[in-house]
Amino acid sequence: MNAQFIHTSLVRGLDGGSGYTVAGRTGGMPMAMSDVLCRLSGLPPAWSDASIEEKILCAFRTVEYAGQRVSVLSHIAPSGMDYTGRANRISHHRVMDEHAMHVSDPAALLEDESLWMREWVGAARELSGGELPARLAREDAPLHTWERVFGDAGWAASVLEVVMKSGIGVWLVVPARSKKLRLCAEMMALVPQEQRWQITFATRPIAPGSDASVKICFVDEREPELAAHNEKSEWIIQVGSGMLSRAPAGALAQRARVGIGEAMHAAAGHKPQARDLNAHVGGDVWTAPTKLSAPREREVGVVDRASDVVGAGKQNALPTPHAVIEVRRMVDTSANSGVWKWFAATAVVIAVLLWLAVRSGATL
Amino acid sequence: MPVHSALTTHPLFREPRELMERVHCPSCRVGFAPSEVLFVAEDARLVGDPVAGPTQQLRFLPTRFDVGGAALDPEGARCTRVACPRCRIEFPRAMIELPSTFISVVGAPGCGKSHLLAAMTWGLRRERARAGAFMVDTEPKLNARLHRDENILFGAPDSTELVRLAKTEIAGDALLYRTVRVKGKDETLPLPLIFTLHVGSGGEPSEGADGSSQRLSALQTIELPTNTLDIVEPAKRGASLVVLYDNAGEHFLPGADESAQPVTRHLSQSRAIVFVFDPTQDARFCAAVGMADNGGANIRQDLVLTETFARVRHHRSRHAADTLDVPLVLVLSKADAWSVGAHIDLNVEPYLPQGGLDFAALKKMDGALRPLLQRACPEFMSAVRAATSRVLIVPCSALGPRTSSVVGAGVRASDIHPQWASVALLTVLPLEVDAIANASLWT
Ligand SMILES: Nc1nc2c(ncn2[C@@H]2O[C@H](COP(=O)(O)OP(=O)(O)O)[C@@H](O)[C@H]2O)c(=O)[nH]1
Ligand SMILES: [Mg+2]
Ligand SMILES: [Zn+2]
Repeated sequence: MNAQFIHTSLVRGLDGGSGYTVAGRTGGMPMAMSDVLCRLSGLPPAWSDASIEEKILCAFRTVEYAGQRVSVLSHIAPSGMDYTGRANRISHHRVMDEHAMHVSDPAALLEDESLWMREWVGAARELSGGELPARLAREDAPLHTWERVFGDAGWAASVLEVVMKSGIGVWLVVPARSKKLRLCAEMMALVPQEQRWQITFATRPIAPGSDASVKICFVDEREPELAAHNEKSEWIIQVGSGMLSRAPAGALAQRARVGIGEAMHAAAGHKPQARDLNAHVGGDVWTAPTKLSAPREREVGVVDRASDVVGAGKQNALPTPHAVIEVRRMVDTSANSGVWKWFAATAVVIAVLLWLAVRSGATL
Repeated sequence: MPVHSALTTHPLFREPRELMERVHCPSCRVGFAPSEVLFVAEDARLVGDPVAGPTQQLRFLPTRFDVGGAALDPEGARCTRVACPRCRIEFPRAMIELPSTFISVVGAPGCGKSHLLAAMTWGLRRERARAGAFMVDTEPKLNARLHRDENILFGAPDSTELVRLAKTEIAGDALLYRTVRVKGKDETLPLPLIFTLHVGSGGEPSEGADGSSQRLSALQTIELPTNTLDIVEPAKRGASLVVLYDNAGEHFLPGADESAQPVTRHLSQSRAIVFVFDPTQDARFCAAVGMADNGGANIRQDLVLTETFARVRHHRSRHAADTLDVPLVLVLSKADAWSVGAHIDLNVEPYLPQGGLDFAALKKMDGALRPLLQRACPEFMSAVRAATSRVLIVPCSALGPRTSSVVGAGVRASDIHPQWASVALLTVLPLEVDAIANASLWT
């Protein structure tokens, strides 16, 4: 079952304390789980003139609870004043169940603002588990935000590769005012859906090296915490320098630039429709895509139709084989992925069985 | 060469200074000998420590030293920074050379701890003549979060802009807490604020890390109220370290998960506890001083106090029935809001003309506040009496009289003029705690 958990400053919390305390929690949640989520609830201080939206921490983390790792989505946002007259924040966590993970991906869920509480009204109380709609990022579109922020959408592929190889996780420094969650969601679209729950991330700095740290933090260049670290550290990465100094190349980078749809169109000798092009540059009316088309920057409608789009994507646009192979190779080299090894093993077993079958057929 | 002999024979540690026999880690509180101290590698290639974390420089027990006596890391770089052998969090090297006094600042959420700390340290950095003592950052980099607060409140004294301190986070603030992995388990520990305290009103502090090179004789410069005073070691040497903790109030509430997040373990070794009682969060106190009620935010501050001393007892393995002799300074905060109603005058601060605390004035203030508190909050005073036998009550206004009406939206920077802010800290500093005890100020 999904579960949710709200932590904010109240005169009286669910467990009695005041100040930052448990405001809401799915009934029956074990105390140990509650304690784990409390510890994920902090909001790091931001730079002095950060806007409210810039202060929000969105994170997908996995934490250990009762001997297993559970997936937790967190949305931590400033939330007016508390009873002492000081700036409050509200941390809304959702513990994901298998089914929800099957039909959604973490970045797309976090991008759906309707799922995340920004203010707590009333006394502390128990909550339901919280129904989650299916939310999937589209796999077929070019990565416009990456292109706008970094000049070349292909960087998403390069960053993904660094993240997959990194043992401790990385902080990607992004220019001021870029939309970090959007960057994250776009990058995730390069990864097969079933892999997206393996790449933990955050949109504010989280120190690497603890149980609750993530594979990639999108860190605004103005973050005060950056100053505390040597920016030459290997785990602090920046587009255009260090591990990311070489221009992106390869099938995945190409897919990031043009998307699967364009690649297919190009291969079939089609030109994209004019209306699709308008959608590219953010034309103000978004109409439901008949075939494949490019997304707009931040469009809840897209996410709402995500499952249809994915369905359509499955029929109309099989991912380009090169890009898929590249992702699989990266995932394969990634330290914590056993899935593809398992696939390979299964393939070998099937091959052997086939061979045996053929041979026994031959001897008949 | 074994490290301890290196520590005592090499010039880095030789000089006139001796090493402490035993050092307590200001973060995880473990005690260890100076010979067990780890060094922090400086070479850029030596990143990653199994306990401190993959982004931290390696911690190591040195076996090689350069001619100047500095430890060399495995790549040959000179290292001077040191870390705890257990949690591997860095602490100022001066801690192995000078005695340290640990002081915990405790109180319910929103009672004014962070403001008080910023105001009292700010005061003691500047008011050496008046206070008869002054403090400098032992290792400025390690006090970064206090600088953040001090800058907000006092950084622009002429500005009419509204300023405010953020609510102290319970987790996730990298300047307040550090998560380390001890024996394969994550532990979140507090980062303390560490100062070098110089007693006496003369002399220039040496800038930067090492305060001990500048020794002042406390005996010559400070006027003491009694001549039978048993002066503690640090005072003789003129300098000692003061280690302060600012926790989020939530950590002191009953039921806070102390085992998983041992952020209040420092209570165990604290020389004194500064308990901040916020009268404006107590409806009966507000009524007693003719203040408008705060709108129902009635926090059981007596429970916070009881819980605090329960933890002190627990850490010191003392029986619940024993009263502890840990001195308790009861700071009544936000005095700008209630001093008029309580008929106390904060304009005169309790300092002697020649510098140092005026014990008579302190005693008088204590005498004025005690009956008021007893009348308005009897259960709180009962909790106090059950907790410890040494109590001193001190008022304080971290923001000053011109700010009390505008607190909600922040206060104008130019209006901030703390009153009695450094007094509470001064009363618990190494020299004074004994002086005051002897002057029978504590009751
Ligand atoms: N009037 C007045 N308000 C204060 C004073 N010190 C703190 N406050 C207010 O009390 C609230 C809590 O202060 P803070 O230091 O953050 O409390 P903490 O949670 O104990 O650290 C803030 O909103 C301050 O504006 C003071 O000296 N006078
Ligand atoms: Mg505070
Ligand atoms: Zn330690």
